[in-house]
Amino acid sequence: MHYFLKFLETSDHVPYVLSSYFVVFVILIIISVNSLKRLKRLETELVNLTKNEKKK
Amino acid sequence: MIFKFANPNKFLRISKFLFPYFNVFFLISFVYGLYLSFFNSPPDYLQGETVRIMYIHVPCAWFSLMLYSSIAICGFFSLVFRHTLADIAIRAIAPLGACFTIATLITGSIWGKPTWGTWWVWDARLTSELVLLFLYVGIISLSNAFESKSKGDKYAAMLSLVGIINLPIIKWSVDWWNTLHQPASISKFSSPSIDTVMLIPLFVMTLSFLFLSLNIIIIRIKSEILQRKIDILNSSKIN
Repeated sequence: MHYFLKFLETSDHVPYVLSSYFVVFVILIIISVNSLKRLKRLETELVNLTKNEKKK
Repeated sequence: MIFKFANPNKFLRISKFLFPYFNVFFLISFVYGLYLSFFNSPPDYLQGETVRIMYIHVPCAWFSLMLYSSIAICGFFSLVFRHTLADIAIRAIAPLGACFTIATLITGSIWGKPTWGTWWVWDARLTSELVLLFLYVGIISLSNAFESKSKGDKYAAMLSLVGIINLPIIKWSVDWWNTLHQPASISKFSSPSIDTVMLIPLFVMTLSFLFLSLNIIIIRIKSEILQRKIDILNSSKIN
């Protein structure tokens, strides 16, 4: 806790540190969500296709 | 041995089993890594509090290189043994590698401003990392540039092998040329030039990135396999 409080006190470095963490989180969240969304879309597409094939 | 496990169906079965474990390991290591980075590591005597950027910048840089190496290995297997899972893996890993490279460049730039007084310099390490991003973009573009998937896979695999020449340049650029970027702090495990109190958060964050990367790669490989199944069903419909 001591290091964290000291870190918050150094106002000139805080924006650099927090913005770098923020950028990495945003990039990783975007690729994770994007990958999951694509997987879900393809899963439903495949289910629909196989259903149609069975009907035939 | 490799080919035994490089079967798409076997991969799906194994990954289904491993996926939840990787998720749990990622969450634990990530939260612990953040705790160590902010609450349990001191400021650097020279760089002050900005040293905390290292805990996120260095793992991103390592993964940008490691993922490219894995793409090149897959490229070799794709070209020599024509293995489908290698082609799928290249398509799945390249966007993640590009993301880590972008994160490396941005966090490096943010770290550079308070440390060097500038956001960007055209020095060897930064420029070669930028070239790595262009290689990733090239691989992604080539895989999707052709109507025939196999043609795109072939050219992407070729570019991945050509681009491997950039990896030693990135690694040793700080030794070969006079650069603003500092030399490697962890070149030998026997004598890393940073203290253990800073080394532990760095490795914990790296571990969390490893589990996250494995999860994203599993998701993306699954998607590629599904996409190929859909393509086969659609083409059989047309025929």
